[in-house]
Amino acid sequence: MEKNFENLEILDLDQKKILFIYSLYSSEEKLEFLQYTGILAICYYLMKNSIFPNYKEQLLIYDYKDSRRYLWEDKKFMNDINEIRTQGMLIRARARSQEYRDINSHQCSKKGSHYLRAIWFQETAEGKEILNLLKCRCKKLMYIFLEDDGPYLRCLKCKSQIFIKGFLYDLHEPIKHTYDSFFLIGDDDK
Amino acid sequence: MNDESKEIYIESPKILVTQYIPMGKNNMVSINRHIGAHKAYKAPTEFGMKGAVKDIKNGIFQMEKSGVFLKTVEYSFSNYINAELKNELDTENKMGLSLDKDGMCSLGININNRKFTTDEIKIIIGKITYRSVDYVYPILKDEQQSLLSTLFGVEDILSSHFSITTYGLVITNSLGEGIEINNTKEFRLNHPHKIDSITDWIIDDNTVEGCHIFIGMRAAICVGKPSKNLRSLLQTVLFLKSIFNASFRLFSLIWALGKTIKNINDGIPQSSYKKLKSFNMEIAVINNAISRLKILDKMMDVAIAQKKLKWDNSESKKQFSNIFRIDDEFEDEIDKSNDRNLTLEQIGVDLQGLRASVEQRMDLIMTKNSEFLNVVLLILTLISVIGIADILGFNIFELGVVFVVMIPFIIASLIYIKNYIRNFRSK
Repeated sequence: MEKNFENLEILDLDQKKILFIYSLYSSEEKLEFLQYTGILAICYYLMKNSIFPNYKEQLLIYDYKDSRRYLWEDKKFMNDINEIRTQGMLIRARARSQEYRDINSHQCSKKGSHYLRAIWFQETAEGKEILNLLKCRCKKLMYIFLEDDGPYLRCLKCKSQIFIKGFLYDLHEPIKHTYDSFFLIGDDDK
Repeated sequence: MNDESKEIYIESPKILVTQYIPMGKNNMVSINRHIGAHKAYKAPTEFGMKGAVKDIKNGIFQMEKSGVFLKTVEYSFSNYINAELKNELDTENKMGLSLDKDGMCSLGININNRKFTTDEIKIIIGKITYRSVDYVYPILKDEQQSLLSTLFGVEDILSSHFSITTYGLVITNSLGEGIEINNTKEFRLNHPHKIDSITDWIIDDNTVEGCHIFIGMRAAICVGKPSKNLRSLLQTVLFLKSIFNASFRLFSLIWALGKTIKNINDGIPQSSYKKLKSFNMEIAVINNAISRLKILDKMMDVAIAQKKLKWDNSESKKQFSNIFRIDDEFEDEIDKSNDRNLTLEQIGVDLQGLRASVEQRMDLIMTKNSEFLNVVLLILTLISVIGIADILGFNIFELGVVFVVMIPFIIASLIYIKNYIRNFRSK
């Protein structure tokens, strides 16, 4: 049964989009979760395709597979996640990988699913555009895979894939500025 | 007033990226000898990979890739070296490389007359981290590289830039126009999420001798000009954070090894002979990893004890007492090390038991296999008997009796063939 929401504008448009993406990839009933790094990669891809005009290119040092990498996260995105969670529409879980890595993840709660249905988000232009970008030619939802060279959206049916370029920051580039050597402790300090 | 909206700029930063490297006095001497620290070269010298000259008879050799140019600034043969590091001879850019016998390794740069956003500083710290793989690791001994590969759980540390963990320090005089700091607590109230974009979660902060110091999980920031004693204190903090990172990695590896051992153990009853053989190989790899972890653990033990001794006798400790929980963190690391030793011992015992189980299971399969083989040989004998019976002119009834007697042996030989394929045939 649908819940009644007194205020359908409790989330802003970015937050509604994020919740909608979570609803595509996770479910409270099925105990399915989407890794935080996974949603970051998806939202970065969507940002590059003009779905999140409020987000900028910003950096976070965060777990990517079994290492720490420099990857995209807009600070508003982080606040948006916190807000959706505060509203009880996202459930956070922490699990652990075989390599002893802590994994942050979320799932769309039942309340979140009810909310999306209440606002008919899937029928909005934004909802349709997100689905259009996340579905492949065979109309199946593409899943997110975190590979060493970067994340991919991949269709499990037709095997087509999209590489999410630029999500991981390349630190092999040289330091652009002129610099001199620095030692914290000199000979007189030893 | 909360002025979180004001952008923070790090002006003319000095940036240091530190990490623990398994070292010890012998390796320290080896590096200083290789670099020729005592010769006080006036010009920088290029240093390639150790062992790069594969055939010493040959007068000409080729480096696999460019080395780094090092110029010793100061050294003590068995204790430390500070050297200027360049990756090209004609570049103005120099990094400060510091290595000491306790495994404290740092690369430092000083960028004058420029200001940076926090994201830009974060990127520079990351880039220096990558440079440590390109510039520092190649001049280490193979054993040190191998220990680092084990620590970071990779095949080859020289090509695994993103796997390594470092700890940064940023020293600056100012955080930009209009950003005042009276003390660290007040600053964090006004700017709850500005500094931590560089440092990650801030776990300690203090204002000491006019310097505002924020200690985070990934980096520390010092706003002000630290005195000699304060720099010594910061050096100790950096060592402890580097050891914290290394010991966390060690524990993660131990945990992962324990998990692998459990998975193998669970898989033994259903496994085929060839799977058991692969388990055996896996056990050898785990055994090797455990041996290396024990060496790493021991080296870290020594390093912690040495640095603690130095800290206990330092002027910094007398002046700053137990600021930033340094004494407690030394104790924590010692306790963690003892704890790890026990866990490693336990894993060693588990591994021995596992190896015995795998071998026992393999023996069992081999024994069963031999039994079935005997049955098959018996069947071959019976077939020969049929042949002989045919030659001897047995009637239908007599031949039927021979066939009925053979049925169980045929079933046994089918089971043997099935098990043989399952256990021994590779795909």
